[in-house]
Amino acid sequence: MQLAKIMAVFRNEWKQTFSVGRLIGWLLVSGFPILLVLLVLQFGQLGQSDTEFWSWLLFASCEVTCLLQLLIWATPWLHSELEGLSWVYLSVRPGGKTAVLMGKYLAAATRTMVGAEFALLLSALLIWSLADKSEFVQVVGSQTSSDISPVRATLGDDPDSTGTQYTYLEIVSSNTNFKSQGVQSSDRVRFFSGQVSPGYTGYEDFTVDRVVSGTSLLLNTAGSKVDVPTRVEIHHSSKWGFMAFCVLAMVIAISCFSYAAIFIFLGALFPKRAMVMAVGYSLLVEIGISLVPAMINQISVQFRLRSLLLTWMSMFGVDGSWKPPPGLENLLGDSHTWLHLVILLGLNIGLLFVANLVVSRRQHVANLGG
Amino acid sequence: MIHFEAATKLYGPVIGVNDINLLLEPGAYGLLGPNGSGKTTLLNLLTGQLKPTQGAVRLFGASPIGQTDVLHRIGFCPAMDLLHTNVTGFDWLRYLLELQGFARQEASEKANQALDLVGLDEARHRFIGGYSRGMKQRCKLAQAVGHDPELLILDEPFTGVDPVGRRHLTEIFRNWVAQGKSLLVSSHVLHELEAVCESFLLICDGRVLASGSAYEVHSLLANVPNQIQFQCSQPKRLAEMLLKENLVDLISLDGAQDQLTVMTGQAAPLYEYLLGLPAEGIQIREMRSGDDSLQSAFESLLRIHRGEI
Repeated sequence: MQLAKIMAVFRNEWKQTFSVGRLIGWLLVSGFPILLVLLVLQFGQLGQSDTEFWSWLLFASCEVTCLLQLLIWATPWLHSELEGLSWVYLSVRPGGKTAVLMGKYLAAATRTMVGAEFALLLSALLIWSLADKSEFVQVVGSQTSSDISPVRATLGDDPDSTGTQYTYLEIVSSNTNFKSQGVQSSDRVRFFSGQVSPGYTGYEDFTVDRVVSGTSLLLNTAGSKVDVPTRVEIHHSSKWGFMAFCVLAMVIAISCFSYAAIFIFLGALFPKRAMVMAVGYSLLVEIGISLVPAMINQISVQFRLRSLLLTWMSMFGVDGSWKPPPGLENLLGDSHTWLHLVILLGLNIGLLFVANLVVSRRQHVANLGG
Repeated sequence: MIHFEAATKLYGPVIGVNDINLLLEPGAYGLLGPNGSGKTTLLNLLTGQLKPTQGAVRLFGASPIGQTDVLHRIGFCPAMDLLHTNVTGFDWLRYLLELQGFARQEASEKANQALDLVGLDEARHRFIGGYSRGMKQRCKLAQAVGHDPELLILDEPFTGVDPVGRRHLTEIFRNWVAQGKSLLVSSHVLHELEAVCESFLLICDGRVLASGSAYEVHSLLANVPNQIQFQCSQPKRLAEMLLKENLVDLISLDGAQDQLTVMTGQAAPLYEYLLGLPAEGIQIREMRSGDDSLQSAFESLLRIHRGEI
């Protein structure tokens, strides 16, 4: 019964979205990430292989979009009803206050999510279609396995097995950081072994099994004979872009629901000053404190979202056990994904519970009249 | 049905209602009082919008605050204007009825019935922003009756409604009461409620000063100092007659306008005396009483209540 009432509010809120003014506002705010991507594509020299850059750009710009949209949709949820003198009609309905709170929360979160995901999708399509498609990172100056040179390739054994198999090849580089280049397991490594014919160089492809360290990769050769490479190229897996999109989409969805809960809570607590409080909170906690390299940044939703983003993207993954890069330990959490998710879920439930309590108990009368 | 137990509501240092004790059985009640007398506060206490600072309010035996059972049984039409603009009357009503707990289809049917009842059947699919003030009032009434409650609580329902609309609303309220349902209507104009209500509560400065039937209220109001203006054929003679009968306390004559203004504390005997004037050859063309706004009468009642008169 209560769910049906919540859905009634949800439907009513969504219906109101489709007025011309609101649609224009929605599209304008959602267009922010797309605009940024277009500017970078126009003026930057970036290819699709600059995965970290695109990920962070889209993450940051979509987060800004989420915050702005939620400031508009979620924060004044109660104040707008009080100002519009419509709260009285809703609050005299059985369970009406809770239904309005939850319905508006869901509507604000989903409305924002649709806008942000739409912006992400368009941005990703732009990057995929317009950015430089040379999807490889080239390791410079490859030499033979015995050379003391920038890159050394050594045929070896599976570190998890005993005996001699020569099924693994370790590439060691002294001047290339594989991690910072974004190399990850399942990337393709191309060994160039010399000119087969004039103008054409022969090569052989292997798959990255794991990134041992910033300067060392382990490739699975499956026991095949390996020619000594004269040059090595590493190609990102072509699936990476789609995976990045999926991870960003998930993080943005979580972000929408989390921030919606915070702003709904602030709107319930300070109906007349909701916008000021929400902007202040965003600037102080989500932008200011979240970037402080200390434990205190863990109170921000941003910290959890960044950590989830990086964990899921395995940007710094080693054998699946992710650790933040040196110097960023305090900006990024090394907790398990589930812990971040549980904390965010708890935050959502807790804030909505308290908001409901406040709204149910507080007396909101817009006009005392006679 | 309605029980106020020493209910007091304070807004900081301002008293909304003051130590109200009231027990009302099912029926039709008019809540009369001047602007700012505490009528809306009393109704807000009754609908659970406000909590009493002291005392208790019970509706159908329970506190109305957050009680879904109680809220199912009441329909409330507040006094404030309807500011919705970009929603049709039908959509608004259906939404509120869904919030009341009806399924969408049922809510649609009930919304249509309610709009038919208040005479907005033709305008149901027009935006509320395009409604006249009277139409908005009727739309507000529709949302209160839509779920067929036992008790209808109306705050100044006649405000902004034209005479034809008033008659229509009065008819709706009469039918409502005839169905055996209860009604509590607030107004600052007595005659608006006379055709609908059988009992009246007089409230001023947050206190219930008096209660009773329409006749009792009239008698009560008639005998508090009241200013009455006459436009008549022989004002000077009428003034002499009234002074001779000792029916007025103060008299003022404007011969040029054929106008006589009197202040009386015994309006009821005065009105009876006036009925015999045509036989004396005096024609009263127009008579105005301060009763239009109950303010002065209520002030007098309040003074009586305080023991100042």
